Amino acid sequence: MRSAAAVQEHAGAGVQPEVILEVKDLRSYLFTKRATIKAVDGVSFYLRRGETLGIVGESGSGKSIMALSLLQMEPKPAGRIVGGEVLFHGDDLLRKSQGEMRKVRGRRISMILQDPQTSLNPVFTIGNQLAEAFVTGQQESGRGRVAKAVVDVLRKVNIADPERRVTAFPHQLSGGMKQRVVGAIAISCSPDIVIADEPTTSLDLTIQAQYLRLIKQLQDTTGVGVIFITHDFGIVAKMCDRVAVMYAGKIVEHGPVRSLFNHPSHPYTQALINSVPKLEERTERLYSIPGQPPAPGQELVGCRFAARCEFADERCRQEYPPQFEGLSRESEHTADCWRLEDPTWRPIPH
Amino acid sequence: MASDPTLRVEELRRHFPVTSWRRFRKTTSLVKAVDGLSFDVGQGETVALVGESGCGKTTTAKLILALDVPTSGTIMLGDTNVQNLRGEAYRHYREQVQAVFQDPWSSLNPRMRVKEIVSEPLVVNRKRSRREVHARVAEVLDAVGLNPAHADRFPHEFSGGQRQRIALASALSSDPKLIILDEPVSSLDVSIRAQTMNLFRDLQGQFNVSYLLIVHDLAVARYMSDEVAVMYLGKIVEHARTEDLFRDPRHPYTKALFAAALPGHPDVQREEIILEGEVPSPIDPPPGCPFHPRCPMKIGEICETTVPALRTHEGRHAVSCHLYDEEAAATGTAEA
Amino acid sequence: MSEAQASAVGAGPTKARLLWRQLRELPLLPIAIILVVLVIPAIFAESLAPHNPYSGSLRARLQPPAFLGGPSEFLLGTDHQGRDVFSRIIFGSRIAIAVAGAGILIGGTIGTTLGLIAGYFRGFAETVVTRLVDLTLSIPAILVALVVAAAIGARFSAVVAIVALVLWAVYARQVRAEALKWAQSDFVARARVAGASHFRIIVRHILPNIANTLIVLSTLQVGFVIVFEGSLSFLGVGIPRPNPAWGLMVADGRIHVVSAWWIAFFPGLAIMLTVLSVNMLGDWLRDRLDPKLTQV
Repeated sequence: MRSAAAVQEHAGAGVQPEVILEVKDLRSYLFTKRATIKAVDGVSFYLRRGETLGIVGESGSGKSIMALSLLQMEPKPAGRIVGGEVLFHGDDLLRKSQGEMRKVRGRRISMILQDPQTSLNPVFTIGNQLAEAFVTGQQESGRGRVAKAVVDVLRKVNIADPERRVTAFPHQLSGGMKQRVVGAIAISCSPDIVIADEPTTSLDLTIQAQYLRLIKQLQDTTGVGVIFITHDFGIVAKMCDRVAVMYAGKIVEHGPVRSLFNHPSHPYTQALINSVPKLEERTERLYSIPGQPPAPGQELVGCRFAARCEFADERCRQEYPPQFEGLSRESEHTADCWRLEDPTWRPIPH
Repeated sequence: MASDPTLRVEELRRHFPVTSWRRFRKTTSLVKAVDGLSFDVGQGETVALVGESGCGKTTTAKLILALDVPTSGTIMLGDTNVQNLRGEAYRHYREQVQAVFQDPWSSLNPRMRVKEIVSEPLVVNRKRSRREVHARVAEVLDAVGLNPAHADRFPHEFSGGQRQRIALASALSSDPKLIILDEPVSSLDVSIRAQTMNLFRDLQGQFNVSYLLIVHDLAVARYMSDEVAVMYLGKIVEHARTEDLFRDPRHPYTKALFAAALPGHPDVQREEIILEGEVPSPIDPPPGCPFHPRCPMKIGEICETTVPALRTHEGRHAVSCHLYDEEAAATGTAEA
Repeated sequence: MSEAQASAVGAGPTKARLLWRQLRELPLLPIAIILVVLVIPAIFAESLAPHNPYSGSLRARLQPPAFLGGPSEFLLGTDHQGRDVFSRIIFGSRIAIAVAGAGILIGGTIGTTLGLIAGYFRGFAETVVTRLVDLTLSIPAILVALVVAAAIGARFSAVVAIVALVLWAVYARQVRAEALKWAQSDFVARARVAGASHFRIIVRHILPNIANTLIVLSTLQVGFVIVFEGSLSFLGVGIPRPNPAWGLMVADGRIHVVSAWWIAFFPGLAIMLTVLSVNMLGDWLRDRLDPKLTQV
């Protein structure tokens, strides 16, 4: 169920693969006439080679803006990255010019967006669009070689009969196939990292299963690292090695997936997990989180979740909590919550 | 289930002819969106229709809501046949069956005030005094957890979760017997879904209303419904009380759906069943069992030629599959 | 629009301040021009115009504007019949408003009604209406004008009728597309489930939601109508003489365009300023009222 690299590590090799992406205190704001929205407000995480990281958050948490900011693609004209570093193999992507970023996007780091309808250009065949990806990525040149590369990559994403499919237009394909073509474009240049923003939201259940299996296969064969942006803990449970939970522009909890599910340490994480109905067991009553996420543009002081948290006190509302490490005996499991000053404390709902 | 069911659907069919220009508008193929559907919804109970796109659940909803006319079959609400309703009977039906749709943003007229939206089922069907309408609006708004004083506001002043509550209040205002919930929480934020689902459950008891829940998320179906019917290409392939279905899924498609559903924990062990191929289209479905082209447990020729009957086994657990026919025939426990 | 964004409005500024902020966002220049050139003259014509627009003395014909050396009582000069150009322009604003107003009202009402029926009911009604629209839009308007003028003579009612005949199709086409879209919304489905009649749905659910489109469309048609009236008058099938319709004034000033250019120039300027500012207002309204553009 995990990527090859992580499985190897788990098998007791002891040596973690190198960190290829490190995000430090990323801040990306939206400057609108009404207010300044601190969409991403000091986010830090990292990704190792071949690993799958899940970024979980609801709408308004800032996860999509953060994904775009990693590649300097924040929405214009309102969006602006105001601080932080995005170190890709030690190189800060935020310091690069747009021209230099073009060499990174699609080639070293690629992105899959949620809606396959708008990801593909409706007036060009998929063969055409894939060929363009290869040529601009300078992976191949010469018509013969490009054509072969296109058919190969279509086969890699399990599209049957690829020689015939290259002449198809996007509207002739089903949703699942379109998403696979988008995936093919994303891996065409053998990137180190693929950022996938809610890639399965519009897919049927059984098609989603095929698609997720495909991503795992690709990871096993190419060792590509994947960042999953999602609101669904199920995707995280199935696909990810590590998880970061985002709320109102900040990462509130972060850790290896099992550790997080077994010992959720931040009240928001705990509440979220408890408010999702389970397939495997009968739930008497779901826990529902009171209140609403904070309105964007509101100036926030202290812990962002305090207003909805049953464990919050005055200090939580005034001061943003520090990060506590070593939760559940995993050094990589961290959470930002004042209650964790007591190392035995866990957010058990009343 | 001693009392009569609220809704009874029998052999419901909805076929759409596809005409071809080239052959002078002759019917060249048939989209069998709903193809022989039969089920009941008991009083005060929730039945979930589960399936992927193309299975016909949306068409079924439209037929029951009298937004479309069936090709054949019957829909009975209590002892009223839904077809050919006129005048008083038609208006009565409209009051008795309501709906809440998926998208909270397009479900409410942006130019109407909340009180007008909520009272619409009340005012269009019969003459009511202003006082009566006002009182009922306040009552249902309060029931869904909204402040009746906000009834003069417009929908855009409310959040997505609140808008679904307004839609529910509107559905409840005429005191219906049946409400169709079409993906009622899929468009809401995860943290809002729980409170909304709890609200639906609580109000079911309070207003004694039945729900027909149309949903693709199996976990939501498990949480909210008393019975589940799994649909594929316009037919029901398995139908059972919720706990029976989830403990013991029998049809190969049901098992594949369960395997495909996302786990609640990384350590969940599942049988890995991945279906090949695409979700089928209901245009000219193949003969025999609708699932046979993708079925990992296909027996053989019988699957390709004969539609398996929906046989009810012990505990009211019905399956439409030759595997169980043979077993049942062998052990002699099948009932027609 | 996420849940969080929907509740983003804070309790901060007072109502007065909000009003002031909204006023500042108005496109002041176009509104000012429209007021000066069109609205104020139309209302206060009798007080503002120094001379009678219909009568002039032949002794004072073809006088240049006061600022170019002509007699000081004729601000913008006189025309070939000795009438004061300035006064005629002021009174002409009434004709412009009347023609545009009546034409848009009648044409708009007919077009909207047919468009709603076509878009909501579809089927045969839709086919008939769309064919009629195609037909109307493909016949040159001038031809229609000539025919109508031949039938009932050149007069105010003829001009309004011609304008309505041309405009209805523009409205019908746009309204049909919008009605089609709105008829598929969930809230329309819910209204039907609630038992609402077709009439109620069209009037209470669809019409209010296309109101914005109608407003924008109408502002943009004003410009067209004024210019169109000018062309009709130019051809002699518009507003009859001696009425001071701007288009007619341009037509009459054609012969003198080299020598007494002011006869055609100033009414032409009035037309241009009006059409320009109404179009700018229409564009601003369209951007302002378009819900898609207001989302983050």
